[in-house]
Amino acid sequence: MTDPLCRALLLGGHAPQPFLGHFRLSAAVGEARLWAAGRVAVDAGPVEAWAAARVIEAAFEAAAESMASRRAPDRHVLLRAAWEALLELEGAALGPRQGADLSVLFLAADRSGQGVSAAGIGRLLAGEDPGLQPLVPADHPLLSPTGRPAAVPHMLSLRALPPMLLGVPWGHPGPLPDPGRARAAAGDRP
Amino acid sequence: MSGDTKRPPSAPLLLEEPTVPDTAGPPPEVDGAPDLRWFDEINARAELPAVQAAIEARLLAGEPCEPVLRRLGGRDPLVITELLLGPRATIGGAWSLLRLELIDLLELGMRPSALYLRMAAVAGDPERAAEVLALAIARHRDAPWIRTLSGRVEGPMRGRAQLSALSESPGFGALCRDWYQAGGRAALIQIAADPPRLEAFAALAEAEDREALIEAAAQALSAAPTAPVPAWLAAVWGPDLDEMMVQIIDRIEAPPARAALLPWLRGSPRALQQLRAAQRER
Repeated sequence: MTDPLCRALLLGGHAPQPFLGHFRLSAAVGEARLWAAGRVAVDAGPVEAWAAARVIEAAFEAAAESMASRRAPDRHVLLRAAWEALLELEGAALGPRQGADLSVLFLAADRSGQGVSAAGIGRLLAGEDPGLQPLVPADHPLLSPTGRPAAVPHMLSLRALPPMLLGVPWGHPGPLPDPGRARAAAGDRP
Repeated sequence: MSGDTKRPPSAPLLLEEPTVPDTAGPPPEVDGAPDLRWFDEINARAELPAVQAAIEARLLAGEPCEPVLRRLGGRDPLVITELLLGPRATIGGAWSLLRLELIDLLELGMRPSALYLRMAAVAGDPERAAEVLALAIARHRDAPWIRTLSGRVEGPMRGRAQLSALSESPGFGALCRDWYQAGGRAALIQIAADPPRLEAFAALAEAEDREALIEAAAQALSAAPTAPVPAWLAAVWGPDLDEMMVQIIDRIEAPPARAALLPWLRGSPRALQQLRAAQRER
């Protein structure tokens, strides 16, 4: 953890367990930074979902640590390492649907720029809360159904690093959070 | 037949200053207790103080009173209501037990919302009042007025009896949320903790009561160290539990209960550090 501010967040589901299977990571390797948020095993019980989420967090951490030995990894390298770590995980470790219910959102940045990459995300909002705005139109290829992609997805470059990037899981039926409530609705609380 | 018996059953009656006719006389006794025939023959509505005294005498003599009162109630249910719950009803003691035993008859004469409040008021002690509440919950489960009754009986722990009684019911999660809103925070913390209940944790999280969650988790893990409380917290509160786990560990005194947290501290570096430091201090 290098940045107390969670820049990438995933909107929670409905009560009573809105954050079932949620995971989150913030990592820094040299000048490169990576924020990740997602969920998996949403049909499982809380213990199995918790374990699956921690498997993903551990894979991301291991990927970030492996990058630490490289000379000056950039955001592209760091993001690719995280995706590859995710794609290499055994399906059995990712809950009853073996990762087919995965939603994940990455925000990667370095000195030269920043970008976003995602899978299983239906809507993407960026900016300050209140005042979050759609980052891409509804038919943008960055948005896709749940599940692990077959290959490492592309990264969409951003002009500036947003203070907050809020992903809405694919198929999320509920309304967006009220203005000023995005962090709490994504389970990011002081 | 007296004039009173012609009143509609719903009309308020009796015990203002009932007149005991000279003809009533003291009840004949058998082995020191009033004879059963006396109860059958007396106009109970008109001679309520005498009936009350006769019941009291039977109680003192150790004679069963429930059958007598049932017979009286069969003739005139309102007499039972007045005798057991009226302004001159005897508070506490064996009378409280009689009220519990005769609840089916008493429910015929009063709305449950008023009946159980009155029963609690004349219960005589907290233990008997708790029995009244338990009976109300057993017979009326989730009636809205149980909240009022619980507040009177349980005070700051309001909600505990109902939450405990209905913890296996399908609507338990909603009941937890309702009780939080109705001032049952303290009860909810206790219900969440022993034995650990996910629904109660979810209600505390939905209310965004971080402090209550920490306290409930610490209590739950102290009582049941292997309970998957951290996984529940992640599901109801959010995935980053590091700071919360630090505070939970602070409140768990028993070293084995702390040690049992170790597998749950993946992704919680500060909490892990704190746990290890606490283990070194031992």
